[in-house]
Amino acid sequence: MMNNTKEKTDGKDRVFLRVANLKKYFPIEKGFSRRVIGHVKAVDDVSFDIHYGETLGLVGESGSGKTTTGRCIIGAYPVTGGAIFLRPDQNSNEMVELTKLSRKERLEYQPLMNMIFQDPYSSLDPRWNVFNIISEAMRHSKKYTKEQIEMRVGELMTMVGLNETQIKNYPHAFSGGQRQRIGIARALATSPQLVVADEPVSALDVSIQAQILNLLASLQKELDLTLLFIAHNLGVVEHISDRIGVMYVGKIVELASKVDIFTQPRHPYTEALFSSVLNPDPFTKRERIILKGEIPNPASPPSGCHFHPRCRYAIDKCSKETPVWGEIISAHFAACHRAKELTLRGPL
Amino acid sequence: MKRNSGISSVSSVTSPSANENGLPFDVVLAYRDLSIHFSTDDGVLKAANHVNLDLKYSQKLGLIGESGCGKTVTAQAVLRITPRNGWIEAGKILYRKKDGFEIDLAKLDPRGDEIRKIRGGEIGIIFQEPMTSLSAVHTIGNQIIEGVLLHITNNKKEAYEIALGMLSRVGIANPKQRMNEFPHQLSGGMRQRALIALSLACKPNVLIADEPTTALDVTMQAQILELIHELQQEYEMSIIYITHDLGVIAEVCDNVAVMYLGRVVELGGIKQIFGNPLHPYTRALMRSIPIIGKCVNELEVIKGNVPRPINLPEQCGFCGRCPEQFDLCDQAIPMLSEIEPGHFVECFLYPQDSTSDK
Repeated sequence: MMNNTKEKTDGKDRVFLRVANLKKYFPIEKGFSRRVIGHVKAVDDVSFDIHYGETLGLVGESGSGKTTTGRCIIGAYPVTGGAIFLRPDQNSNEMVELTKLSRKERLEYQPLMNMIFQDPYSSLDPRWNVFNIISEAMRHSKKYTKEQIEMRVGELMTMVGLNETQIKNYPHAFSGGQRQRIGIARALATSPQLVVADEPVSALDVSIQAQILNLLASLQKELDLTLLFIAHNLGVVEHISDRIGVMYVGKIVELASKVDIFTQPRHPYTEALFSSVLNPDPFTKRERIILKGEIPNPASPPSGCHFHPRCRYAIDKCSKETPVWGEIISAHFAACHRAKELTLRGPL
Repeated sequence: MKRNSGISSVSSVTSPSANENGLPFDVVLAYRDLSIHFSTDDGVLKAANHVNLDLKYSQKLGLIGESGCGKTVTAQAVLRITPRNGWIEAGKILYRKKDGFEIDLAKLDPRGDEIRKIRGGEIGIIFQEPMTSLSAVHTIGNQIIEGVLLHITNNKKEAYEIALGMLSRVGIANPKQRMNEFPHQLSGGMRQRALIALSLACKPNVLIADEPTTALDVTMQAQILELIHELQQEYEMSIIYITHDLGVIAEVCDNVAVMYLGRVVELGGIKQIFGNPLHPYTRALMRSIPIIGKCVNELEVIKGNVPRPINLPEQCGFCGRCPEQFDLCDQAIPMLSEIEPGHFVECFLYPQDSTSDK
């Protein structure tokens, strides 16, 4: 298990959530008897920490396991292996192993985490009005009185920039950006510590995207939130994150602070991914690394390092041995056999 | 082929509405004052208003704008595949065919023979969703062969060979096997490649690429853009590239038209638009996207939403969201005027030039 933080005592850098060797396999069933013929290793041995108040960005292509990781953390999927630890009290050193708890026991910690979904059109129930949508978690928790709920919903709507008079409206009356604000208000209802934002802006237009990103950033500051920000748009992730993790076929291949990873990535996949980003600047043409082929099927990933068939630095060892996840330089983690010898270029 | 007689049109744009009748010699497709309306439950939706654009031979023209600004609608009008509740209210779509004759596509019967010859044969289109724009019940091969048989040859064997060659040209491994497969057996990137093969099999003059990479990952996007670029050079096509991604535009286009609320609000060469954006909307759009390496604490926001183009008052469409608005803006619609050679803008902040537009 990795431990990528110098545990500081000022509370700011303390680990809020620790993911250790997390695995999530989905069975592939075949035929009438639903015989299991294999597993899609959506998340395979992923470890990382999320610190209090930080934004951890998770990037990767579709099918790399970003969303599955987020859903495992939130408890939407039972995990196949590994553990997730949570520190419910900032001032104590005690961590709860969420994955060991029963469903009922886990409910106690559930209000500490919530999720914002990608598609603001399908993630809101069209037959519920805004009040019902936002207050759902509070109504179920039994900790709030009716008056408290009503006050809190009004408060949340103002907080995310919605008009309180629209409280009885249904989702169809709102635009995409406003719907996403409703989704954010719902996620904040139980005053969570961690919000998992799963591609919260990728379904929105660019001008609306900026509104939502600014809102998330200001809410984070105001409420001292911890964010796990999942996205495939690297510009967006760079804008909002403190640290960035790069996923490829179910594994995190690199994890470092934003500046480190953009200045000098340590994994060839990160380099190629960054170089394929198109900058809106016709004046400087960068040399682009165009990856051949496609992301492999997570049901039968390549041997050794999963990236080796597409990697331009691959050596013999890469197809035979799985690289070890380790700290390359301080607080910069990567899983690559050649991480220490290669000098890769980042976009900065 | 008589087209492309060494005309390079990299940086110059002619005044869009000059030469009212007929096409300038180097222009293959032109919108003249094109307006497209839709009937909805709430009234008439004016999706495109007085759009004037020229597409030259071998030019790569980018159309950029947010959803609902009329990018796709204008492109659909070229092929006359406007949805049923829409119609061309006014204007012309002039096109010079491969045989040299000019026709007005807006006047053709959308179900007639003439447009069917052009659709697919002379003007190809790549749609955004590679999942939904291929038929799920026909094999990839049959879908490509269908177009080839309609436009190029009557010989089935020859059509098969053309389709096979096209599939391998777009970089699909095992093309023989893929010919007999159905779209669901292909991955997203492969489907987009198959769709490109389908639209280019008849060697069109003009390719309309409607958000071809929006549904794809960045690494796949880089591959597909590279492929489109190569094929454009090879076939000397003109491309209309529709997208909302400024990065894609900067990468692939020579000229850009910025659309907002059914109007072209700014038009110019790629370096003019990115180096010296004139319209407040273009500027705001460029500042509102996070760019790697340009750290800002807060992104600039365009306030409000794009309004629905129903019963809008006679005023600049950006009025109300514009940070540089002044008293003239809600009085009338500004005219598209040329500020520097080849760079047009539709905004009252700049001198209104009455000669360049009606």
